[in-house]
Amino acid sequence: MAPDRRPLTPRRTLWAVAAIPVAFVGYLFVYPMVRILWLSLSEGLADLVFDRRLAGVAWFTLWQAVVSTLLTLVIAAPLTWAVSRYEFPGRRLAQALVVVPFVLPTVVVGTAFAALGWRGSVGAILAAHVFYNVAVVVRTVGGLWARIDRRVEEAAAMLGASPWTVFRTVTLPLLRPAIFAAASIVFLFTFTSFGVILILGGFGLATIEVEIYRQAVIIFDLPMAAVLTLLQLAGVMTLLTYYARRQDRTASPLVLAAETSTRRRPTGRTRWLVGGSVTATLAVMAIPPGVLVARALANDGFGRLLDTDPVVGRPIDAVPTSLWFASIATLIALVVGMCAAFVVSRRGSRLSQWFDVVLMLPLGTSAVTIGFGFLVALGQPVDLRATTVLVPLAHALVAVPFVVRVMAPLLRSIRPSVREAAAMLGASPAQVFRHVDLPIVSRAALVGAGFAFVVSLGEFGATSFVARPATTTVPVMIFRLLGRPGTGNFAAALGLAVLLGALTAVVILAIDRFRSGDVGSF
Amino acid sequence: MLQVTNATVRFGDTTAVDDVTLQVADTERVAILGPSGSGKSTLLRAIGGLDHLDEGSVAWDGQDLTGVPPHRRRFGFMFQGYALFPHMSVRQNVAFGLRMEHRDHSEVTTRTDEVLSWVGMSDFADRSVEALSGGEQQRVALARTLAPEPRLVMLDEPLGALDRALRERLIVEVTDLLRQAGTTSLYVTHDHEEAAVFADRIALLHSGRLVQSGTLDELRHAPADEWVADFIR
Amino acid sequence: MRPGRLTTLFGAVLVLAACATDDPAAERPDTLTIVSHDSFADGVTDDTFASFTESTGINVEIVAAGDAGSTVNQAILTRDNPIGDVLFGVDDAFLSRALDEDIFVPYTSELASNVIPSLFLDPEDRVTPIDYGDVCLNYDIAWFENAGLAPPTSLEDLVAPEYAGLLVVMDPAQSSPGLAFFLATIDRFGSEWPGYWESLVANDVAVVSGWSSGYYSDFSHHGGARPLIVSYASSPPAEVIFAEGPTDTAPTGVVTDGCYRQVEFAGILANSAHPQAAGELIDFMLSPEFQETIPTTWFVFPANDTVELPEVFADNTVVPVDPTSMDPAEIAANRDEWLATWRQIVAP
Repeated sequence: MAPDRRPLTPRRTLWAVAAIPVAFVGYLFVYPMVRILWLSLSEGLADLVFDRRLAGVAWFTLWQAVVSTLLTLVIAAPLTWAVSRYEFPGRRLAQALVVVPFVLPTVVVGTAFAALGWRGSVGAILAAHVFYNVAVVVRTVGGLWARIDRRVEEAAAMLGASPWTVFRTVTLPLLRPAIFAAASIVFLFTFTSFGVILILGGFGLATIEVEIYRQAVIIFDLPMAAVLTLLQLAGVMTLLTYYARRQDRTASPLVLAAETSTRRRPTGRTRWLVGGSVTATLAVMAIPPGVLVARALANDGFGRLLDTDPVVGRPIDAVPTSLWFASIATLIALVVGMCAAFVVSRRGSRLSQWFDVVLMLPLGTSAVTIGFGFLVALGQPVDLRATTVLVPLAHALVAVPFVVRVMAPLLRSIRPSVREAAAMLGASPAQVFRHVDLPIVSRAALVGAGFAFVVSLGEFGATSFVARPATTTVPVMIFRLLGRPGTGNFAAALGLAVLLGALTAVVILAIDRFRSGDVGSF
Repeated sequence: MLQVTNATVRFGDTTAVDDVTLQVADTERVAILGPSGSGKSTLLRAIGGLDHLDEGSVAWDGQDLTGVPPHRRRFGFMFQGYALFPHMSVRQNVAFGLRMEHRDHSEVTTRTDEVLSWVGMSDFADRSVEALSGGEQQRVALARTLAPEPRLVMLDEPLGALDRALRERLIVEVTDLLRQAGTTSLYVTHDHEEAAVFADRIALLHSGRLVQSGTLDELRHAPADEWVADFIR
Repeated sequence: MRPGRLTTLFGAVLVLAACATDDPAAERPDTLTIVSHDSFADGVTDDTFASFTESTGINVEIVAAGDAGSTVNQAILTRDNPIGDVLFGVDDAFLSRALDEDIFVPYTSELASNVIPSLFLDPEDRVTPIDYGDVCLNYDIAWFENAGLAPPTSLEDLVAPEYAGLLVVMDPAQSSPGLAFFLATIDRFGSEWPGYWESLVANDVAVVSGWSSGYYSDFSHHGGARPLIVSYASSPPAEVIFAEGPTDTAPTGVVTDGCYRQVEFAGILANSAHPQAAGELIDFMLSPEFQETIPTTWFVFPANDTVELPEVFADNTVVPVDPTSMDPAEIAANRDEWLATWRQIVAP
């Protein structure tokens, strides 16, 4: 194949289609980031960076992320081992259940641990982080573990290695790429943790994310918030770069086997170990959501949703607001994401490679950064900050990378000759898109729409900056209710959290029905 | 009549098609024969408008087509690997070109059924193309190419992926179909036996250049140079 | 004059005429919106603005925007397209920021002469004082009686070992009474204030983010563990009014030393479409009718001193001897630095 065949889509068309996502990401992300940079430089960056308080926040952010990651790896290990190496009744169910916390909005997770009465302690934060991220380890490490050929381990055993030595000298080194990948993801999530810490941290415990929020929204020291944002960005970028470098080192295909051949029925003592690992982990993980639901029911949390509080209004009113915003955000994300995926999937063009990176940036940056960017940048030329559209725009910006990630691989999988065949049969470029690309990606588009919807429903970081009293979404309402005195408001927060969790679960289940192996994972 | 004049296609520093001039008369079947990398597929794609001509021109009956996009050339192209639409049934694949011409519904159905019966795939009309075997896919691809009655049919190694026995049978079928339909056609292959069965005339391509053209017998008995003699033997 | 010029002139006159008839002030709005902090919204009922609506035909809506600080921040961020017509609840701590950002237009109420003169802090009349209150330490009388301990009488007492682990304060960055108490300590100890706070921390002070959660969760009178809390001089009468059984005496007391006087202002937001009606609303908020409801609704004192205090208020309120107040400009100039230093001491 010649390296640069003339693409079927003329460059003009490609640029025209690219213009929509370029304008979207440019105005809503790149421009605000430039404003933040400018803002932080205006304030003598160096003076602030060596601030003792900043160092404290950075240190807490770092160590809680490291400890959360290590704890998650250790706590998830027994369950990962059981579901990836053994076949037993309920294995698939266990694997599905463990993912539930991961898809729950952070505000719901925070509220669940608040319902346990754990607000204001480091322990609560670490526990919530582990609860939230166990799924990452089970999916990532378990995915590889399930495919490692047992005969490699058996060979070691035949050579005289005890089970523990086999694990330490054979299995663990083979799993290293997956463990590294899982640890990176968990670290990134906990490093940029916001909702959980804002709810559970109380006074004094703040990550960089929370401190950005505090400085920008509460203290109104925008330059300080800008410096923190840069610090945060630098941390995340370092991690992502390192991750991208290491990612190529995957497991040797020599030791991989089909999943079905590696799973065994547990026998003897192993049966108890497998059963114990699965039951104990799932039972402990069921406590926070269980207590959340129980306390919501016991305190009439659902009935309270209809009571009007003089300050936050009627809690239930946030539900239609959220659904409405999620619909708009989904629509925007779908249009922008589809255009972007179309450009990205046209292999070979330098534009598409460059574009891919830029599009992923909002995902790498935190939601709080996006919200803060909106706050400092969108005052001109039209003051978007006081308008309702800002919330769904912020949500769409967070959701676009998901849509692209789901759709681009599928668009790429369409062989160029299929499009050329359509052209030779008389289809214009627009008709090729309508009759070939669109029907093939329609299912992926539904999955992408589902993700965008869920992202919007649960989005808290960016929304907390841009939500106005009239545009209170469910997560923001939960947060405001938690800050109000009285057991009634607390019960309403619990009820609303249960409602949001259930709503999210329903959409995720719907996505799962549409999803198949060829549509990317998270 | 197809007239290709001084056609040149470059990819960066390499010249894939080098100053090729070729004419194909109406109803004539021409095979473009050459080893892999000789530029034959590129020549075909350039004729179809899928690759850009750096120099020279492509014309039909004296009308220059050089700037005309592929979908307005009314040429048929059968791809290596067939490039069937995976999300459509056999019938929808075959009907695609007719729908692009906005023919009315009953005409699309009649013509689709007709073409499907030519290739012996009538019973498979409502199957998904993903469920077909290689030979069946090949027939559907041929039917899809022929359905809109293109003025020129181009076939790019259409039997490449199939096993020997199947290829020998299919080449005869394809040739018969095109002869009966009286379609002007270009057939790209690296196999000179296939070329001999299919074509009235063989155009021999080497390193992007057209080195000789004639029947297999003519090439055998009067090779233009040592390379031709060696390749055709 | 060429005809072109004439046309232009004529056009300009037309536009001016249109502007004059289109004058937003002349148009009566259906609704005016007050942007305010949560505690104000908490007290508003259907009756609060009923007579204003009756006499003017204008409904009043309240938008709660968090605490006093974030209310002002939101008003600054939405200056060009305000979310309301009147902002109520900017206090002296945030006044300078609000005035620097030009979020208000000047308005002088005809009732201004009835207001205690010392409450006016802006010579340009961009804000109008509506109420004032004293932030003071409160103590749980029963707790101290049971413990056989005398309640503290001064700021200095708070660092004594016998009061270790008893005090709850609020984050001055997030809470208005928290900031008031903080400013009182700065006023008292001058440049030595960080040392005082280090002693408070050594004496196990508890810091909470907001007044409500502290008062209703941590204060021993409401089921918490600590009997000393930063609150208002008017909190004891509030306890009487909201007491479950009939009672005349407050269960909580006020430490009269180290109080800080807060003044709350209302102002007409720049770019409001209805400045004239907004002015009428501010007049109403200064009228005896509204001012009389202030003590028993929000537990602060009316700015209009022609208004008589209700009996329960007069009986149970200890008026601080010499409450502190600070020049808004001084607060504005030092606030961020003070807060940063404070945070380093309290949450290193």
